[in-house]
Amino acid sequence: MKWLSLLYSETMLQSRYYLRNRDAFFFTFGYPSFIFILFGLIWGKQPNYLNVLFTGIIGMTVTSDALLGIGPVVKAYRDTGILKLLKVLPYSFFIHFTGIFLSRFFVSILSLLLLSIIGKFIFGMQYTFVSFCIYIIGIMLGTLLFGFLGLWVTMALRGEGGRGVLNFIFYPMLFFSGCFYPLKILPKFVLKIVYILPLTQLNLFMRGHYICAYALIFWIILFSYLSFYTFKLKEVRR
Amino acid sequence: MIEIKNINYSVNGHRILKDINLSVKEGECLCILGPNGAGKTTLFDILLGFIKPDSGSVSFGGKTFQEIKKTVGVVFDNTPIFYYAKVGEYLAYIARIYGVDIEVARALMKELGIDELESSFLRALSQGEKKKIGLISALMHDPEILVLDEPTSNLDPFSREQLWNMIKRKRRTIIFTTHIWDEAQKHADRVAFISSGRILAIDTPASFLSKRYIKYKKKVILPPETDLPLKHVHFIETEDKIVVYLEDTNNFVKTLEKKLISFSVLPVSLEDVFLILDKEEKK
Repeated sequence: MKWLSLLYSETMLQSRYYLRNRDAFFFTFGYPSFIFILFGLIWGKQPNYLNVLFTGIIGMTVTSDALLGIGPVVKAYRDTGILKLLKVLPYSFFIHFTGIFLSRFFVSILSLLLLSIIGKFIFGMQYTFVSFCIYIIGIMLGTLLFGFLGLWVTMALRGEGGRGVLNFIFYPMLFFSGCFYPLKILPKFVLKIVYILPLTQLNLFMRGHYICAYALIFWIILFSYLSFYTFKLKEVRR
Repeated sequence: MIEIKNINYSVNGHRILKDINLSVKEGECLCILGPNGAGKTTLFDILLGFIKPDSGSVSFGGKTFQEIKKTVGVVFDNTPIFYYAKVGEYLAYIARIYGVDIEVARALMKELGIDELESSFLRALSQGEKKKIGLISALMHDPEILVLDEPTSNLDPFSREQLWNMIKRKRRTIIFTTHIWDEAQKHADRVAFISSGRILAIDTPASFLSKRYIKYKKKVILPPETDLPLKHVHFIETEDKIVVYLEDTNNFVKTLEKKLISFSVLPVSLEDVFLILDKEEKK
Protein backbone atom coordinates (compact mmCIF):
# COMPACT_ATOMS: atom_id res chain seq x y z
CA MET A 1 0.00 0.00 0.00
CA LYS A 2 2.98 2.29 -0.56
CA TRP A 3 1.07 4.17 -3.27
CA LEU A 4 -1.70 5.01 -0.79
CA SER A 5 0.79 6.44 1.67
CA LEU A 6 2.46 8.40 -1.16
CA LEU A 7 -0.92 9.68 -2.34
CA TYR A 8 -1.80 10.80 1.18
CA SER A 9 1.47 12.64 1.68
CA GLU A 10 1.27 14.13 -1.83
CA THR A 11 -2.24 15.43 -1.07
CA MET A 12 -1.20 16.94 2.25
CA LEU A 13 1.92 18.50 0.76
CA GLN A 14 0.02 19.97 -2.19
CA SER A 15 -2.63 21.35 0.17
CA ARG A 16 0.08 22.99 2.26
CA TYR A 17 1.77 24.50 -0.81
CA TYR A 18 -1.58 25.74 -2.09
CA LEU A 19 -2.55 27.42 1.16
CA ARG A 20 0.86 29.10 1.41
CA ASN A 21 -0.14 31.05 -1.68
CA ARG A 22 -1.77 34.14 -0.20
CA ASP A 23 -4.08 34.64 -3.21
CA ALA A 24 -5.27 31.06 -3.03
CA PHE A 25 -5.80 31.31 0.72
CA PHE A 26 -7.79 34.52 0.35
CA PHE A 27 -9.99 33.19 -2.46
CA THR A 28 -10.59 29.90 -0.62
CA PHE A 29 -11.44 31.27 2.82
CA GLY A 30 -11.44 35.07 3.06
CA TYR A 31 -13.40 36.17 0.00
CA PRO A 32 -16.17 33.49 0.18
CA SER A 33 -16.71 34.19 3.90
CA PHE A 34 -16.85 37.94 3.28
CA ILE A 35 -19.35 37.63 0.40
CA PHE A 36 -21.46 35.16 2.37
CA ILE A 37 -21.68 37.40 5.40
CA LEU A 38 -22.21 40.62 3.38
CA PHE A 39 -24.89 39.30 0.98
CA GLY A 40 -26.44 37.24 3.76
CA LEU A 41 -26.86 40.30 5.96
CA ILE A 42 -28.31 42.38 3.09
CA TRP A 43 -30.70 39.87 1.44
CA GLY A 44 -30.77 36.99 3.93
CA LYS A 45 -34.37 37.62 4.97
CA GLN A 46 -35.74 36.80 1.49
CA PRO A 47 -37.20 33.29 1.37
CA ASN A 48 -34.66 30.54 0.53
CA TYR A 49 -32.02 33.15 -0.37
CA LEU A 50 -29.46 31.90 2.18
CA ASN A 51 -29.58 28.39 0.69
CA VAL A 52 -29.09 29.82 -2.82
CA LEU A 53 -26.21 31.97 -1.62
CA PHE A 54 -24.58 29.18 0.43
CA THR A 55 -24.52 26.69 -2.46
CA GLY A 56 -23.52 29.43 -4.92
CA ILE A 57 -20.55 30.40 -2.80
CA ILE A 58 -19.46 26.78 -2.47
CA GLY A 59 -19.71 26.56 -6.28
CA MET A 60 -17.63 29.72 -6.63
CA THR A 61 -14.94 28.44 -4.25
CA VAL A 62 -14.69 25.05 -5.96
CA THR A 63 -14.46 26.73 -9.36
CA SER A 64 -11.78 29.12 -8.21
CA ASP A 65 -9.71 26.40 -6.47
CA ALA A 66 -9.92 23.93 -9.33
CA LEU A 67 -10.03 26.15 -12.43
CA LEU A 68 -7.30 28.56 -11.34
CA GLY A 69 -5.46 26.24 -8.96
CA ILE A 70 -4.69 23.17 -11.08
CA GLY A 71 -3.99 24.04 -14.73
CA PRO A 72 -1.75 27.07 -14.05
CA VAL A 73 0.13 25.11 -11.37
CA VAL A 74 0.80 22.16 -13.68
CA LYS A 75 1.87 24.57 -16.39
CA ALA A 76 4.27 26.26 -13.97
CA TYR A 77 5.61 22.78 -13.12
CA ARG A 78 6.35 22.23 -16.77
CA ASP A 79 7.96 25.65 -17.23
CA THR A 80 10.18 25.29 -14.16
CA GLY A 81 11.29 21.72 -14.89
CA ILE A 82 9.35 20.01 -12.11
CA LEU A 83 7.67 17.68 -14.58
CA LYS A 84 11.14 16.59 -15.67
CA LEU A 85 12.06 15.96 -12.05
CA LEU A 86 8.91 13.89 -11.52
CA LYS A 87 9.69 11.92 -14.66
CA VAL A 88 13.12 10.84 -13.40
CA LEU A 89 11.83 9.79 -9.99
CA PRO A 90 10.58 6.22 -9.44
CA TYR A 91 7.10 7.60 -9.03
CA SER A 92 3.87 7.65 -10.95
CA PHE A 93 2.67 10.86 -12.57
CA PHE A 94 -0.80 9.59 -11.77
CA ILE A 95 -0.18 9.82 -8.00
CA HIS A 96 1.14 13.34 -8.34
CA PHE A 97 -1.78 14.61 -10.40
CA THR A 98 -4.31 12.79 -8.25
CA GLY A 99 -2.64 14.43 -5.24
CA ILE A 100 -3.10 17.87 -6.77
CA PHE A 101 -6.81 17.21 -7.47
CA LEU A 102 -7.35 15.74 -3.99
CA SER A 103 -5.62 18.72 -2.36
CA ARG A 104 -7.99 21.15 -4.10
CA PHE A 105 -10.91 18.95 -3.08
CA PHE A 106 -9.59 18.95 0.49
CA VAL A 107 -9.21 22.76 0.75
CA SER A 108 -12.68 23.24 -0.76
CA ILE A 109 -14.03 20.92 1.97
CA LEU A 110 -12.28 23.09 4.57
CA SER A 111 -13.94 26.13 3.00
CA LEU A 112 -17.31 24.33 3.14
CA LEU A 113 -16.79 23.71 6.87
CA LEU A 114 -15.93 27.37 7.47
CA LEU A 115 -18.99 28.56 5.51
CA SER A 116 -21.19 26.08 7.38
CA ILE A 117 -19.98 27.43 10.73
CA ILE A 118 -20.64 31.00 9.57
CA GLY A 119 -24.08 29.99 8.28
CA LYS A 120 -24.97 28.31 11.55
CA PHE A 121 -23.71 30.94 13.98
CA ILE A 122 -24.52 34.13 12.05
CA PHE A 123 -27.63 33.16 10.10
CA GLY A 124 -28.90 30.19 12.15
CA MET A 125 -28.84 27.86 9.13
CA GLN A 126 -29.62 24.16 9.66
CA TYR A 127 -27.93 21.39 7.66
CA THR A 128 -28.96 17.78 7.22
CA PHE A 129 -26.61 14.85 6.74
CA VAL A 130 -27.97 14.38 3.21
CA SER A 131 -27.47 18.02 2.24
CA PHE A 132 -23.90 17.85 3.51
CA CYS A 133 -23.26 14.70 1.46
CA ILE A 134 -24.65 16.49 -1.61
CA TYR A 135 -22.31 19.43 -1.03
CA ILE A 136 -19.34 17.05 -0.76
CA ILE A 137 -20.34 15.21 -3.96
CA GLY A 138 -20.80 18.60 -5.64
CA ILE A 139 -17.33 19.68 -4.55
CA MET A 140 -15.88 16.42 -5.87
CA LEU A 141 -17.60 16.76 -9.26
CA GLY A 142 -16.75 20.47 -9.48
CA THR A 143 -13.08 19.87 -8.67
CA LEU A 144 -12.82 17.27 -11.43
CA LEU A 145 -14.77 19.33 -13.96
CA PHE A 146 -13.03 22.67 -13.46
CA GLY A 147 -9.65 21.06 -12.80
CA PHE A 148 -9.69 19.33 -16.19
CA LEU A 149 -11.08 22.47 -17.88
CA GLY A 150 -8.24 24.55 -16.42
CA LEU A 151 -5.67 21.92 -17.35
CA TRP A 152 -6.91 21.77 -20.92
CA VAL A 153 -6.96 25.54 -21.42
CA THR A 154 -3.50 26.14 -19.91
CA MET A 155 -1.96 23.23 -21.81
CA ALA A 156 -3.55 24.24 -25.10
CA LEU A 157 -2.43 27.87 -24.97
CA ARG A 158 1.13 29.11 -25.11
CA GLY A 159 2.80 31.47 -22.68
CA GLU A 160 0.73 33.26 -20.09
CA GLY A 161 -2.37 33.25 -22.32
CA GLY A 162 -3.93 30.36 -20.40
CA ARG A 163 -4.41 32.26 -17.16
CA GLY A 164 -6.01 35.19 -18.98
CA VAL A 165 -8.47 32.88 -20.75
CA LEU A 166 -9.27 31.15 -17.45
CA ASN A 167 -10.09 34.49 -15.86
CA PHE A 168 -12.18 35.34 -18.92
CA ILE A 169 -14.10 32.08 -18.41
CA PHE A 170 -14.31 32.38 -14.62
CA TYR A 171 -15.71 35.85 -14.00
CA PRO A 172 -18.62 35.96 -16.49
CA MET A 173 -19.52 32.39 -15.51
CA LEU A 174 -19.48 33.42 -11.86
CA PHE A 175 -21.82 36.30 -12.57
CA PHE A 176 -24.30 34.43 -14.79
CA SER A 177 -24.43 31.06 -12.99
CA GLY A 178 -26.65 32.18 -10.17
CA CYS A 179 -24.00 32.04 -7.45
CA PHE A 180 -25.36 35.14 -5.69
CA TYR A 181 -29.00 35.23 -6.80
CA PRO A 182 -31.80 32.85 -7.83
CA LEU A 183 -31.72 32.10 -11.58
CA LYS A 184 -35.45 32.83 -11.93
CA ILE A 185 -34.78 36.58 -11.87
CA LEU A 186 -32.92 36.36 -15.19
CA PRO A 187 -34.75 36.94 -18.53
CA LYS A 188 -35.73 33.74 -20.39
CA PHE A 189 -33.41 34.29 -23.36
CA VAL A 190 -30.42 34.68 -21.00
CA LEU A 191 -31.42 31.53 -19.11
CA LYS A 192 -31.03 29.48 -22.33
CA ILE A 193 -27.31 30.26 -22.28
CA VAL A 194 -26.94 30.22 -18.53
CA TYR A 195 -28.18 26.62 -18.25
CA ILE A 196 -25.34 25.43 -20.48
CA LEU A 197 -22.69 26.80 -18.10
CA PRO A 198 -21.08 24.08 -15.97
CA LEU A 199 -21.14 26.23 -12.85
CA THR A 200 -24.92 26.69 -13.22
CA GLN A 201 -25.30 22.92 -13.34
CA LEU A 202 -23.07 22.52 -10.29
CA ASN A 203 -25.09 25.10 -8.33
CA LEU A 204 -28.38 23.51 -9.38
CA PHE A 205 -27.08 20.06 -8.38
CA MET A 206 -26.22 21.30 -4.89
CA ARG A 207 -29.68 22.95 -4.70
CA GLY A 208 -31.33 19.57 -5.18
CA HIS A 209 -31.63 19.25 -8.98
CA TYR A 210 -29.82 15.90 -9.06
CA ILE A 211 -30.46 15.40 -12.76
CA CYS A 212 -27.68 17.96 -13.33
CA ALA A 213 -25.16 15.30 -12.21
CA TYR A 214 -25.42 13.80 -15.73
CA ALA A 215 -24.43 17.10 -17.29
CA LEU A 216 -21.56 17.46 -14.84
CA ILE A 217 -20.30 13.95 -15.65
CA PHE A 218 -20.55 14.74 -19.36
CA TRP A 219 -18.37 17.84 -18.87
CA ILE A 220 -15.87 15.88 -16.77
CA ILE A 221 -15.48 13.21 -19.46
CA LEU A 222 -15.13 15.83 -22.21
CA PHE A 223 -12.61 18.02 -20.40
CA SER A 224 -10.57 15.10 -19.04
CA TYR A 225 -10.26 13.70 -22.57
CA LEU A 226 -9.28 17.11 -23.97
CA SER A 227 -6.74 17.79 -21.22
CA PHE A 228 -5.08 14.35 -21.47
CA TYR A 229 -4.99 14.66 -25.26
CA THR A 230 -3.47 18.15 -25.15
CA PHE A 231 -1.03 17.17 -22.42
CA LYS A 232 0.20 14.19 -24.41
CA LEU A 233 0.65 16.30 -27.52
CA LYS A 234 3.10 18.59 -25.76
CA GLU A 235 6.47 17.23 -24.78
CA VAL A 236 7.39 17.47 -21.14
CA ARG A 237 9.93 20.13 -21.89
CA ARG A 238 10.95 23.43 -20.40
CA MET B 1 26.74 0.34 -19.25
CA ILE B 2 25.28 3.39 -21.02
CA GLU B 3 25.05 3.12 -24.80
CA ILE B 4 24.00 6.02 -27.00
CA LYS B 5 23.79 4.85 -30.62
CA ASN B 6 23.36 6.88 -33.80
CA ILE B 7 21.24 9.61 -32.24
CA ASN B 8 19.88 12.20 -34.66
CA TYR B 9 17.47 14.92 -33.65
CA SER B 10 16.01 17.83 -35.60
CA VAL B 11 13.57 20.63 -34.85
CA ASN B 12 11.77 22.24 -37.80
CA GLY B 13 14.33 20.84 -40.22
CA HIS B 14 17.25 22.17 -38.18
CA ARG B 15 19.53 19.37 -37.01
CA ILE B 16 20.28 19.73 -33.31
CA LEU B 17 22.16 16.44 -32.88
CA LYS B 18 24.00 14.57 -35.62
CA ASP B 19 25.05 10.92 -35.43
CA ILE B 20 25.84 10.88 -31.73
CA ASN B 21 27.55 7.69 -30.59
CA LEU B 22 28.78 7.40 -27.02
CA SER B 23 29.33 4.65 -24.51
CA VAL B 24 30.10 4.82 -20.82
CA LYS B 25 31.61 1.76 -19.17
CA GLU B 26 30.60 0.64 -15.69
CA GLY B 27 32.36 2.79 -13.11
CA GLU B 28 33.56 5.27 -15.72
CA CYS B 29 33.11 9.03 -15.56
CA LEU B 30 32.43 10.56 -18.98
CA CYS B 31 32.26 14.29 -19.50
CA ILE B 32 30.43 15.90 -22.39
CA LEU B 33 32.20 19.16 -22.91
CA GLY B 34 31.20 21.94 -25.21
CA PRO B 35 30.08 25.54 -25.42
CA ASN B 36 26.52 26.75 -24.79
CA GLY B 37 24.14 25.70 -27.56
CA ALA B 38 26.28 22.72 -28.57
CA GLY B 39 23.44 20.26 -27.86
CA LYS B 40 24.50 18.97 -24.44
CA THR B 41 21.15 19.49 -22.71
CA THR B 42 19.22 18.12 -25.70
CA LEU B 43 21.37 15.01 -25.53
CA PHE B 44 20.51 14.71 -21.83
CA ASP B 45 16.82 15.13 -22.58
CA ILE B 46 17.09 12.21 -24.99
CA LEU B 47 19.15 10.17 -22.53
CA LEU B 48 16.47 10.62 -19.85
CA GLY B 49 13.61 9.99 -22.26
CA PHE B 50 12.10 13.50 -22.22
CA ILE B 51 12.27 13.72 -26.00
CA LYS B 52 12.32 11.05 -28.67
CA PRO B 53 15.18 11.22 -31.15
CA ASP B 54 14.47 11.03 -34.90
CA SER B 55 16.68 7.96 -34.99
CA GLY B 56 18.99 6.01 -32.74
CA SER B 57 18.68 4.48 -29.30
CA VAL B 58 19.75 4.82 -25.69
CA SER B 59 20.23 1.88 -23.34
CA PHE B 60 21.36 1.47 -19.76
CA GLY B 61 22.86 -2.02 -19.65
CA GLY B 62 20.26 -3.20 -22.17
CA LYS B 63 17.38 -1.51 -20.32
CA THR B 64 15.54 1.75 -20.80
CA PHE B 65 15.87 4.66 -18.39
CA GLN B 66 12.33 4.06 -17.17
CA GLU B 67 13.26 0.51 -16.15
CA ILE B 68 16.33 1.45 -14.11
CA LYS B 69 15.47 4.92 -12.82
CA LYS B 70 15.50 3.74 -9.18
CA THR B 71 19.25 3.28 -9.50
CA VAL B 72 19.93 6.61 -11.21
CA GLY B 73 20.53 10.03 -9.70
CA VAL B 74 19.90 13.07 -11.89
CA VAL B 75 21.04 16.65 -11.45
CA PHE B 76 19.47 19.26 -13.70
CA ASP B 77 21.16 22.37 -14.96
CA ASN B 78 18.45 24.52 -13.32
CA THR B 79 17.36 22.77 -10.15
CA PRO B 80 13.57 22.36 -10.36
CA ILE B 81 11.86 23.62 -7.23
CA PHE B 82 8.35 23.69 -5.82
CA TYR B 83 7.79 27.41 -5.28
CA TYR B 84 6.04 27.07 -1.93
CA ALA B 85 8.15 24.23 -0.54
CA LYS B 86 10.71 24.42 2.22
CA VAL B 87 14.05 22.67 1.86
CA GLY B 88 13.26 20.05 4.52
CA GLU B 89 9.86 19.28 2.96
CA TYR B 90 11.36 18.95 -0.51
CA LEU B 91 14.08 16.56 0.62
CA ALA B 92 11.59 14.57 2.73
CA TYR B 93 9.38 14.30 -0.38
CA ILE B 94 12.24 12.91 -2.50
CA ALA B 95 13.36 10.63 0.35
CA ARG B 96 9.83 9.23 0.69
CA ILE B 97 9.68 8.44 -3.02
CA TYR B 98 13.02 6.62 -2.92
CA GLY B 99 12.13 4.95 0.39
CA VAL B 100 15.14 6.52 2.11
CA ASP B 101 15.40 7.86 5.66
CA ILE B 102 15.39 11.69 5.70
CA GLU B 103 18.39 11.50 8.05
CA VAL B 104 20.51 10.51 5.02
CA ALA B 105 19.62 13.81 3.36
CA ARG B 106 20.26 15.67 6.62
CA ALA B 107 23.74 14.14 6.89
CA LEU B 108 24.53 15.24 3.32
CA MET B 109 23.24 18.75 4.09
CA LYS B 110 25.50 18.90 7.11
CA GLU B 111 28.46 17.76 5.07
CA LEU B 112 27.85 20.57 2.58
CA GLY B 113 27.37 23.07 5.39
CA ILE B 114 23.77 23.91 4.52
CA ASP B 115 21.95 22.12 7.37
CA GLU B 116 20.68 25.43 8.72
CA LEU B 117 18.68 25.90 5.50
CA GLU B 118 16.21 23.09 6.29
CA SER B 119 13.39 25.43 7.22
CA SER B 120 14.10 27.96 4.43
CA PHE B 121 11.91 28.26 1.37
CA LEU B 122 13.55 26.79 -1.72
CA ARG B 123 12.75 29.92 -3.71
CA ALA B 124 14.80 32.02 -1.29
CA LEU B 125 18.00 30.04 -1.87
CA SER B 126 20.87 31.20 -4.03
CA GLN B 127 21.57 29.33 -7.29
CA GLY B 128 24.54 27.62 -5.64
CA GLU B 129 22.46 26.46 -2.68
CA LYS B 130 19.75 25.17 -5.00
CA LYS B 131 22.42 23.24 -6.87
CA LYS B 132 23.57 21.62 -3.63
CA ILE B 133 19.98 20.65 -2.78
CA GLY B 134 19.64 19.19 -6.29
CA LEU B 135 22.75 17.11 -5.77
CA ILE B 136 21.61 15.89 -2.34
CA SER B 137 18.31 14.75 -3.83
CA ALA B 138 20.25 12.91 -6.56
CA LEU B 139 22.63 11.21 -4.15
CA MET B 140 20.47 10.36 -1.14
CA HIS B 141 19.44 6.94 -2.50
CA ASP B 142 23.08 6.03 -3.22
CA PRO B 143 22.58 5.53 -6.99
CA GLU B 144 24.81 3.38 -9.19
CA ILE B 145 24.50 5.76 -12.12
CA LEU B 146 24.66 9.54 -12.08
CA VAL B 147 23.45 11.77 -14.90
CA LEU B 148 24.56 15.31 -14.17
CA ASP B 149 23.81 18.34 -16.30
CA GLU B 150 26.18 21.15 -15.29
CA PRO B 151 26.39 19.84 -11.70
CA THR B 152 28.63 22.58 -10.37
CA SER B 153 27.57 25.66 -12.32
CA ASN B 154 27.04 28.71 -10.06
CA LEU B 155 29.31 27.25 -7.39
CA ASP B 156 32.54 28.64 -6.02
CA PRO B 157 35.71 26.51 -6.43
CA PHE B 158 35.60 25.30 -2.81
CA SER B 159 31.99 24.10 -3.10
CA ARG B 160 32.81 22.48 -6.45
CA GLU B 161 35.49 20.38 -4.79
CA GLN B 162 33.15 19.49 -1.93
CA LEU B 163 30.52 18.31 -4.39
CA TRP B 164 32.94 16.28 -6.47
CA ASN B 165 34.28 14.59 -3.33
CA MET B 166 30.73 13.60 -2.51
CA ILE B 167 30.01 12.40 -6.06
CA LYS B 168 33.18 10.33 -6.34
CA ARG B 169 33.15 8.87 -2.85
CA LYS B 170 31.83 5.65 -4.34
CA ARG B 171 32.65 4.06 -7.70
CA ARG B 172 29.71 4.98 -9.92
CA THR B 173 28.98 5.25 -13.60
CA ILE B 174 28.78 8.97 -14.30
CA ILE B 175 27.90 11.00 -17.35
CA PHE B 176 28.07 14.74 -16.90
CA THR B 177 28.13 17.93 -18.89
CA THR B 178 30.08 21.02 -18.05
CA HIS B 179 31.51 24.08 -19.62
CA ILE B 180 34.20 24.33 -16.92
CA TRP B 181 37.26 22.95 -18.71
CA ASP B 182 39.36 22.37 -15.57
CA GLU B 183 36.59 20.31 -14.04
CA ALA B 184 36.53 17.96 -17.02
CA GLN B 185 40.31 17.66 -16.98
CA LYS B 186 40.36 16.86 -13.28
CA HIS B 187 37.36 14.58 -12.79
CA ALA B 188 36.53 12.84 -16.07
CA ASP B 189 38.03 9.51 -17.13
CA ARG B 190 37.15 10.42 -20.71
CA VAL B 191 35.95 13.59 -22.37
CA ALA B 192 33.67 13.89 -25.40
CA PHE B 193 33.89 17.22 -27.19
CA ILE B 194 30.58 18.34 -28.65
CA SER B 195 30.06 21.26 -30.99
CA SER B 196 27.07 22.17 -33.16
CA GLY B 197 25.41 18.89 -32.26
CA ARG B 198 28.31 16.72 -33.37
CA ILE B 199 30.86 14.78 -31.33
CA LEU B 200 34.29 16.07 -32.38
CA ALA B 201 36.41 13.58 -30.45
CA ILE B 202 36.37 11.30 -27.41
CA ASP B 203 39.48 10.50 -25.40
CA THR B 204 41.10 10.77 -22.00
CA PRO B 205 42.11 14.27 -20.84
CA ALA B 206 45.79 13.21 -20.83
CA SER B 207 45.57 11.98 -24.42
CA PHE B 208 43.92 15.20 -25.54
CA LEU B 209 46.90 17.10 -24.17
CA SER B 210 49.40 14.82 -25.90
CA LYS B 211 51.04 15.54 -29.25
CA ARG B 212 48.43 13.44 -30.99
CA TYR B 213 45.96 16.29 -30.71
CA ILE B 214 48.07 19.37 -30.05
CA LYS B 215 51.70 19.93 -30.92
CA TYR B 216 51.94 23.15 -28.92
CA LYS B 217 52.80 23.38 -25.24
CA LYS B 218 52.12 27.06 -24.55
CA LYS B 219 49.71 29.74 -25.60
CA VAL B 220 49.94 33.51 -25.59
CA ILE B 221 46.73 35.40 -24.97
CA LEU B 222 46.44 38.83 -26.55
CA PRO B 223 43.69 41.45 -26.43
CA PRO B 224 41.21 41.33 -29.33
CA GLU B 225 42.11 43.08 -32.61
CA THR B 226 45.85 43.10 -31.78
CA ASP B 227 48.09 43.18 -34.87
CA LEU B 228 50.15 40.03 -34.62
CA PRO B 229 53.86 40.91 -34.60
CA LEU B 230 54.84 37.65 -36.30
CA LYS B 231 53.30 35.97 -39.29
CA HIS B 232 52.92 32.22 -39.77
CA VAL B 233 51.80 31.46 -36.21
CA HIS B 234 48.85 29.28 -35.32
CA PHE B 235 46.20 31.48 -33.75
CA ILE B 236 42.49 31.49 -32.96
CA GLU B 237 40.57 34.73 -32.69
CA THR B 238 37.47 34.91 -30.50
CA GLU B 239 35.28 37.85 -29.46
CA ASP B 240 37.33 38.71 -26.39
CA LYS B 241 40.85 37.51 -27.18
CA ILE B 242 43.40 36.21 -29.64
CA VAL B 243 45.09 32.97 -28.64
CA VAL B 244 48.45 32.22 -30.29
CA TYR B 245 49.78 28.66 -29.98
CA LEU B 246 53.54 28.17 -29.93
CA GLU B 247 56.02 25.39 -29.25
CA ASP B 248 58.53 27.90 -27.94
CA THR B 249 57.26 31.25 -26.72
CA ASN B 250 60.62 33.02 -26.14
CA ASN B 251 61.00 34.89 -29.45
CA PHE B 252 57.35 35.78 -29.67
CA VAL B 253 57.27 37.10 -26.11
CA LYS B 254 60.37 39.24 -26.71
CA THR B 255 58.74 40.77 -29.77
CA LEU B 256 55.59 41.55 -27.81
CA GLU B 257 57.61 43.16 -25.04
CA LYS B 258 59.46 45.32 -27.56
CA LYS B 259 56.18 46.50 -29.06
CA LEU B 260 54.66 47.09 -25.59
CA ILE B 261 51.69 44.80 -26.23
CA SER B 262 50.05 43.36 -23.10
CA PHE B 263 49.83 39.57 -23.06
CA SER B 264 49.81 36.49 -20.84
CA VAL B 265 51.45 33.11 -21.34
CA LEU B 266 49.72 29.93 -20.21
CA PRO B 267 50.09 26.19 -20.75
CA VAL B 268 47.65 24.70 -23.26
CA SER B 269 44.47 23.14 -21.83
CA LEU B 270 41.50 21.07 -22.95
CA GLU B 271 39.82 24.28 -24.08
CA ASP B 272 42.62 24.86 -26.59
CA VAL B 273 42.35 21.33 -27.93
CA PHE B 274 38.63 21.87 -28.32
CA LEU B 275 39.09 25.22 -30.09
CA ILE B 276 41.61 23.71 -32.51
CA LEU B 277 39.47 20.64 -33.22
CA ASP B 278 36.38 22.79 -33.63
CA LYS B 279 38.16 25.14 -36.02
CA GLU B 280 39.41 22.20 -38.09
CA GLU B 281 35.92 20.66 -38.17
CA LYS B 282 34.37 23.91 -39.37
CA LYS B 283 36.92 24.24 -42.19
